[in-house]
Amino acid sequence: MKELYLAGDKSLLQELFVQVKGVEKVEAGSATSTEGEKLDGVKITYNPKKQDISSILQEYFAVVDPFTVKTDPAEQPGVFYSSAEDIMQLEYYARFLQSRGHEPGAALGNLIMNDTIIPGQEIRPLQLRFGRVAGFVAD
Amino acid sequence: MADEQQKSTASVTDERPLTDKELEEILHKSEKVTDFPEVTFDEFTVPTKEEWVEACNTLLKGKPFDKVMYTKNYEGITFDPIYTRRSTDDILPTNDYPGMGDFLRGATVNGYVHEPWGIAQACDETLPQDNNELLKEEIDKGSTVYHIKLDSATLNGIDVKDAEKPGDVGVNITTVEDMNVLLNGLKLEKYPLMIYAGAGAKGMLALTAAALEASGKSLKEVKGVIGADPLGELIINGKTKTSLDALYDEMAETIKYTRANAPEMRTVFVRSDCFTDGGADAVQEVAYTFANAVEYIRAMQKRGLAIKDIAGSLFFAFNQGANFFMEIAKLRALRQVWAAIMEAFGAEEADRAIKVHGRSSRFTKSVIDPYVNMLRNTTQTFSSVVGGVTTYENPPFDELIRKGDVFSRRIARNLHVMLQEEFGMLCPIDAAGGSWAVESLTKQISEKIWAEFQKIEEMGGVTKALEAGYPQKAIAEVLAKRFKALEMRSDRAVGVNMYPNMTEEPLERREEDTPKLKKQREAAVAAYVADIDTNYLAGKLANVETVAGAMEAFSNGATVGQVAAAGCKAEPVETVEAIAPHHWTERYEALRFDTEKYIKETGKNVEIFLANMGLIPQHKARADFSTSFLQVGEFNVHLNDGFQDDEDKPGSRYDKCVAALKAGIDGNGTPYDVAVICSTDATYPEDVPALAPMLKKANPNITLFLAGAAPKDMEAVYREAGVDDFISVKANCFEILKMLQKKKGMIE
Repeated sequence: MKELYLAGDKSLLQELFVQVKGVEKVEAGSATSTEGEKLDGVKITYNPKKQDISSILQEYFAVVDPFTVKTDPAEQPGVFYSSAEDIMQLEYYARFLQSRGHEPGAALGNLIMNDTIIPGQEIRPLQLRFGRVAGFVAD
Repeated sequence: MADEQQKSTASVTDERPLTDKELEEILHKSEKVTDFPEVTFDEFTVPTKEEWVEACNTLLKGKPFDKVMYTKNYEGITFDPIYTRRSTDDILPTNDYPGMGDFLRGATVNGYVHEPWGIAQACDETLPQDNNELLKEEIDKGSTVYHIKLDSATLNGIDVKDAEKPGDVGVNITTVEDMNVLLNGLKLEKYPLMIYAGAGAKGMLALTAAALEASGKSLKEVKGVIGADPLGELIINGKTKTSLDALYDEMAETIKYTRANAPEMRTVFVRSDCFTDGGADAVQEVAYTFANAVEYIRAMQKRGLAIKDIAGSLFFAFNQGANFFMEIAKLRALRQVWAAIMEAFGAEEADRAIKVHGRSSRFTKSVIDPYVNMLRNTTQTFSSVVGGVTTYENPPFDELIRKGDVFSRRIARNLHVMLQEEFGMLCPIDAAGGSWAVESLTKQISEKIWAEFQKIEEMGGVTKALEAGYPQKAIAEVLAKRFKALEMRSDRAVGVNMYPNMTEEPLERREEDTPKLKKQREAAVAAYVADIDTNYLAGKLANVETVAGAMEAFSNGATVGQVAAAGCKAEPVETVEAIAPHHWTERYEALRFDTEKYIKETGKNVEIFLANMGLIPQHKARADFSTSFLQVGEFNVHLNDGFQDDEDKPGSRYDKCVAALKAGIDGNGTPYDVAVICSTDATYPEDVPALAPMLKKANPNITLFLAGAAPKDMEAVYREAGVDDFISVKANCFEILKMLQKKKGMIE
């Protein structure tokens, strides 16, 4: 089993992810990253033989706008991962998000989203936190 | 095969299908009347070979042309630096067409135009239900072959209750109910089925037929392969469970059964894994695999089978290695060689074409930096498609670590889809045909395969050759060469012996909960057999010599173990020296795991000091080389910007360097284990005799390296000064790292 931690409306995310194929468990709570950042949302436990990160993120970004700034920083859209092998897929997905037509030049944590900035075009940075989970407390 | 040929040519005429000969004549006539424009290329003067060599020599700046520009590979074939029309004009297959003749240019007339290569991604989930879902998922996402991989227990006819590790490498099957669950809802009338069944195919064939019959279907509707490779199993395990004669009897029975009842099903699956996993080169792989197949043909002929029936039952599996052009040439050549062999057996032209299942070779994969396996798989799959395989399996990049997951399976499968849908690889027929390089390599490897195959023939066939240990010894020699080339880094395994990723975190192994799965499987089998009439079953088990008899037994509740035991003749088994499986980077991986284990247990590592002389441009090239070289062992290399003289103090760079060494890895004197003097050849005669003794005096236990190979006349001088060894392209990386591990106490 693998875990992924997603920030956002806990009830909405719980309701959504219990219906997703391969997701075994959805817990509401707070996660902390290795950098000390806090994330309020859900912990998704899923079977990697039946589901992968990109499909989970696809569901997530169907209900969460990664460009919106939230008033409570802990509720700001964010993804915490649990193992290093997730980074590549998260990076890949971040690029995919951008390729769907979002403005270039947005940055996702320490990942460079696009190195082609069109002069004069407004840059809307992704308001998405990204980190490796250090702990989780269920509600 | 004959049917396919007929089908593929049927559209040419409305009256009757053309024969291959008629089609060939039409193609020849058509070529004569085709008015191709004359292209003279007279816009520029073609340089002579001598002029070209001279231009190369200018660029090589004194390096020897003959040494640098020619590459000899494991097959004993030397790659030329350039191939020209002049050198290959005689061998270009200008009169050959795909799907006929010697089949060099393809097994079918139309290549992939009407029938793309089968996407045969192996499905290996332990539980039949899970594997059934996986099979359906694979087809939904683009696969076109139901490729079922069995676990070791099922392959060896062992029931789950007696299985040591059910599900170790594939799905566990014990009863017809398991097979029902596995095949439930599969569109077998549309997609072919592929199952490798081990030493004998009778049990799996009967089980499949029984399960289909129970669901109102018939094996007659199914095409594909449920095949055995008894010699392959002998080579892997070193022994058979019964005599080869008994296994050949079983093979003959499966051929007879399928010719009569399931003409599109093949039951002899001649695989090269047993050779390539041991490190065999491409010539050995093909020659020995064909030798196995020829042994089967002779055994089947002895049992009264016609060559047409035998040809219609054969399916081959070859592994694609890392040498792109050689692998294309191999696939083209093997079709030609096989056609010659089948011609010698008196097979009709249509029966001389070979069906090849390809697979990216396990041997060339690495556990460390496994994402590089995606790149390895990409080139191997591409060369297979260009070479012309019938079906192909591109394994997930993490196959050496765990069973694939959604992500790794998707990446693997999508490579096929991209090659078919985006790269247009379905359009060209014999894409490499006419290439001066590939045609030349094809001819060379074809001759070598034939010669090696003849050697086996002269020994009296492959069984006698195996008994004498000939293929084992020949493959072991190539394996030793491969390991040596990796040690010296003349073969480069990216991420392992070159460009190691120091921040790499290993992939999670995700070991399966085997005891839990076994219990689950045992419970399912127990529930199924609970109401079986054992007395009635005993009667059925007395008659499992035939496929039909085994089907009856399975339909009445027999398990694979019962059928295997009932059908096993108490005859002397065959034993030979086994060929153990390897993968090329295993020795480096073991070395690196030793370092990781030591770090975990002690918190310590081999600490490397770079004695960089002068400004960055002076030492950077060799400092970078040394860093990469030593990081292959996952050692700590401490970087610095170099030590320079103060303006008024010549030679003060040495004092600064020694002071940095004395300060240790933490500034508090914790000593380094290794120092590497890095600078240029021009400065070494001055720096090394001065600096080396100072470094040795400051830390007598240190191992001192000089970056770069010393000129012959200076090596003794440098060693006299205190240099222990040299880090250069000529150094044995593996041995040096092992020596450092030993000195540190990481290994005995």
